[in-house]
Amino acid sequence: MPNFPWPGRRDASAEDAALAALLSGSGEIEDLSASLRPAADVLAALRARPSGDELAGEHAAMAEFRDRVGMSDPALPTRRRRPSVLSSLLSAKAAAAALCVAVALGGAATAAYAGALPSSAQRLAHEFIGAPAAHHAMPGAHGSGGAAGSWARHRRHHHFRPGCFMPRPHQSWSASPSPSTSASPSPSPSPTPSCPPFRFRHHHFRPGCFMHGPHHSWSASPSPSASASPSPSPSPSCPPLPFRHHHFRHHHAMPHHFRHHRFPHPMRSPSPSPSATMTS
Amino acid sequence: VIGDGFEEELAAAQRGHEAAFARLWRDANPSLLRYLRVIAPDLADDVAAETWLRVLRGLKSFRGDEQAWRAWVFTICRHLVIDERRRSKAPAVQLSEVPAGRLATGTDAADEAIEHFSTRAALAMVAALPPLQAEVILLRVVAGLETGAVAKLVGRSPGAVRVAAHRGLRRLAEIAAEAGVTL
Repeated sequence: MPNFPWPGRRDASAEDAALAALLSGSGEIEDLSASLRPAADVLAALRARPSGDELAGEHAAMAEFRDRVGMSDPALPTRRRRPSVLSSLLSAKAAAAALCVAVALGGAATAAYAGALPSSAQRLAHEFIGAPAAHHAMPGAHGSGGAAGSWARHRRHHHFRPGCFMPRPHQSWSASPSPSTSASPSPSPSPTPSCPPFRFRHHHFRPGCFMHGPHHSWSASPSPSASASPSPSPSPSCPPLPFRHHHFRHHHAMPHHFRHHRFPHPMRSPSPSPSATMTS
Repeated sequence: VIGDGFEEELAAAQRGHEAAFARLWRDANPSLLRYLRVIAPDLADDVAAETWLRVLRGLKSFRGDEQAWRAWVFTICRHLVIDERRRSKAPAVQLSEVPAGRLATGTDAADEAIEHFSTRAALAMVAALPPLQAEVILLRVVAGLETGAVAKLVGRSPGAVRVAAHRGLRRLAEIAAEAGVTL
């Protein structure tokens, strides 16, 4: 069979190659047929350098880029890392400091409730967080050592000044008996003029009533001669008083022999001569 | 087309370097606008801006060479045009039916082509082609995509894309010849 040449097919393949080169921009214009040269000019115009209006939105695009991912200065990454490292270190230090403070406060609170703090600190803890008063710190003091020892202990745990029985504001005593360090039967508890006037705070003092709460087993007796035996029934003339703003634990914190003992009341008796005998 | 330094520019832009992203933008945005001024002349600026917003969202996760980058950008752009057409429920406008005044050219594309054979005149001539031929020529010439990438983008086979491109070029040569464009 004779082999016929196909000139038309060869021309078509050459034109396809020229078109492919035209599309890819790799062909030479001189290699193109005259019919395709106008298309080459059009494609060259399509590939022309950008005009001004085609780049007009650059500022807006850059602003959007900065907002979303960008940074304009290459040094910014290191600047941004530093605060994060610093802040992590600071936060670690702050956490450690907070832990130390929490442990210290917890220990102090535990010691305060155990009564192991020094008396001034214990008093502060007593005032602010309701820890036991300072005289709770020595529970073994009750009933040991007799009257002299009790007085001595009381003087140690309360704030005595010589010749001035100075109760603390939350205590219910209203008089200022002059305590005697010796357990003499006549301690002469007359008020001392040098004592500052005692102020009642949170207590309802009524003259003639030795002020104590209803939980106490003894009450005031108008009789100036106090007997050593406590009266188990409250006096009808002195009904129990409501203890508003009063801390009962203060009375419980009182030494036992104080609770079961009567003291002369200077307002109840102008010239008291109590025989304050201690009960053990 | 950026060429050899594209990977470095892209990596720098992904790290947040504004200058690198500016180079990518200056390279791609004119092509994007030229493409849009043919396939969606009334939406060109808005769709271009929205395209870059989408590009910024996915910039850090993009992986690929320059061909893939340009294909990605133009795919986003094309999908936005399609979405906008669906949203507005407007019938698809045939490029051949676009009045000359809506294109970014003068009233008479041929006259402008004679006097100022500019990019806009060339776009007006491309807009006179059937839509597929016009889009294929734009993607091949303006976007710089290979035949395979264009085929994937427009959803046709590479052979159909090649045929459409060749037919479009022949028709474009005829239009230019009729307009008096000579070498």
